[in-house]
Amino acid sequence: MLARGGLAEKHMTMPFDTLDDASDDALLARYAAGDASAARALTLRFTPKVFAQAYRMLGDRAEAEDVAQEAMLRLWRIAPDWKPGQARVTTWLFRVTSNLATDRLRRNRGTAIDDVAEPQDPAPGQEERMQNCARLTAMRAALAALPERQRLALTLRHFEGLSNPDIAAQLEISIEAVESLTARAKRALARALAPQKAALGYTDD
Amino acid sequence: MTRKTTPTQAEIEALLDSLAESGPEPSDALVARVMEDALARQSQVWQPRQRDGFLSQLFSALGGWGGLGGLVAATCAGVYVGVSPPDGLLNTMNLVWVVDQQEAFDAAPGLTGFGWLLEEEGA
Repeated sequence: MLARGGLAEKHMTMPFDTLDDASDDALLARYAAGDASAARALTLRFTPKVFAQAYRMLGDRAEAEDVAQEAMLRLWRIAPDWKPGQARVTTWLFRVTSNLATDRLRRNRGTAIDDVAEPQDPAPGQEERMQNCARLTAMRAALAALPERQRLALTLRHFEGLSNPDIAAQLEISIEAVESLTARAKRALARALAPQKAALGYTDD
Repeated sequence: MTRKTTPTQAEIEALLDSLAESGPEPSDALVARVMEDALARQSQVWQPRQRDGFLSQLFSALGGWGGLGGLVAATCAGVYVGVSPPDGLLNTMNLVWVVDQQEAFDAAPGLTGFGWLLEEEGA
């Protein structure tokens, strides 16, 4: 953490492995102060998360890479003006990535399902795989159609595994508001997916 | 009836979870690109400040190469006029190096001529 020594002492002299213990805010401050090892540490810390999130929302590797690079570029740009303690770096990045991916999905809404790349994980059978792919594509489109706060509340819970109190703290709203946002988001998703339900091969439960 | 056409909450959650499972690792190429951006941005912000020594401050205060060029030209012109003055211009070098005091006293009083002193003595 920051309290360990003077700012000048920490520059370049800190052993590389201790960067892993530095807080996000501290790393960002050192990046803004010109420390190249902080640039490396931040890249390795956040790129996997940002890329995974972009991929979940977009379902396309190349598009997800573009969005991840753009989101990280915005982090580099904001670093000199970053105010420690005001927002969490992870939440800020999550929001930026979510919005960039959503913009892209909305722009590509005309794209046919066939054009959307399939997930790369191996699936048992070809038919099932295509069905899974179509379901996820429909889900991504429905997510992109949600208002920002509903989308963030729902994906913070399911993608990041955060609890409602954590989400409330990060979005600076009450826990009740989170519950309400999540419930409305799920209803909206259900409505959006209803027309496709038969086509997408849901089994009766 | 609505249950058959509208996905249930559980189905929605299951879909969200299967989206969440599909988070692959970034390629090395992406990590390299991001790192490149980070360092490029960092050097953009930092390079001008690092070069800000006294001489470079003086250099920019004088107006950069343009200003410095003008100063050099003016200096050369001044030295040239001083060493080899054009006709009609008072030859200041000769006024300083007075060889013939009498002539200098009569014609054009030199700076070291002290004509007023001689006048006083003669009076």
